[in-house]
Amino acid sequence: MNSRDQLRMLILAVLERQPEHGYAIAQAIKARSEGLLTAKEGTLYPALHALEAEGLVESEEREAGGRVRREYRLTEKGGKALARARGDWQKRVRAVGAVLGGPA
Amino acid sequence: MNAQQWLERTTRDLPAGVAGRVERETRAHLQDAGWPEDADVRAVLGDPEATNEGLRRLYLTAKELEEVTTGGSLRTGWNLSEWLAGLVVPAILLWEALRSGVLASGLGVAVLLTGVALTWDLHPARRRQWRLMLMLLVVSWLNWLPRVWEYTGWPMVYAPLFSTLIVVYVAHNHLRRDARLRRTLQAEEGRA
Repeated sequence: MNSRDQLRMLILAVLERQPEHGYAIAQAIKARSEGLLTAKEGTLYPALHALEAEGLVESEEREAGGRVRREYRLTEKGGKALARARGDWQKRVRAVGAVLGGPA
Repeated sequence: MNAQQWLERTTRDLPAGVAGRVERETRAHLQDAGWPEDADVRAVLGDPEATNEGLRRLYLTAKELEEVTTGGSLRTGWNLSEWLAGLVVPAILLWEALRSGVLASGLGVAVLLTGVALTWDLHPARRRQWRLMLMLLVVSWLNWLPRVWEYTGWPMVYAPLFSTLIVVYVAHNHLRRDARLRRTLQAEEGRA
């Protein structure tokens, strides 16, 4: 799984909880990873556009408090893709852990 | 690099609808981040060239979009291509199939007419591209590519394999380009 695929998985995981706009997605990734992972706008939005084109997320512009924001939400297809990506990721983590070994 | 300069680089050569959406999302992002637009925005937004490259993989450029929607420099007889693909070429192939009993020509007619039916409801630009591509692929597979193979002097038994591989490669590229066209048309039609 390359960094692009990882970002896609992180976005889908954030949207699984609730629909969000771009900045909130970036903040959620940063907060949940305790600052270890960041999604710069420059990579975040092309990834969101690609996910939308594949039908994994859908978006709509909404006005809230005089501000217009495009809100992204997970689709059913996106939920299934996330479940698959999660399974793959957990397999990889177990495999790498088994090779690295070390104290349990 | 301020927000305006970043946006100009990021949306370079992209059609107005795509550029507009990127601009709205970027400005909203900066507003939410509390980052002044006249400050250096690269710390928040990243490299504009990388973003432009990412967007070009997703969308057609303005020039490419103009070419597929208007015919570009080959505009003369542009709409003729649909008639050629949907009627003239199938009629020629059908005549050939009936006259000489060549099964491959019959198969070519079936592929073209199925293509015409399947692309009926598509956006005119996508429909034209699909029909033109199908026509070129069928004619290439039936006539042009076997002749190219013949010139090489290698055994003719491999000609169908050679033709099929080339057709699959071109069709694969066309599918990717069509996906970019579909996204671009959606973004252009949804522009404010």
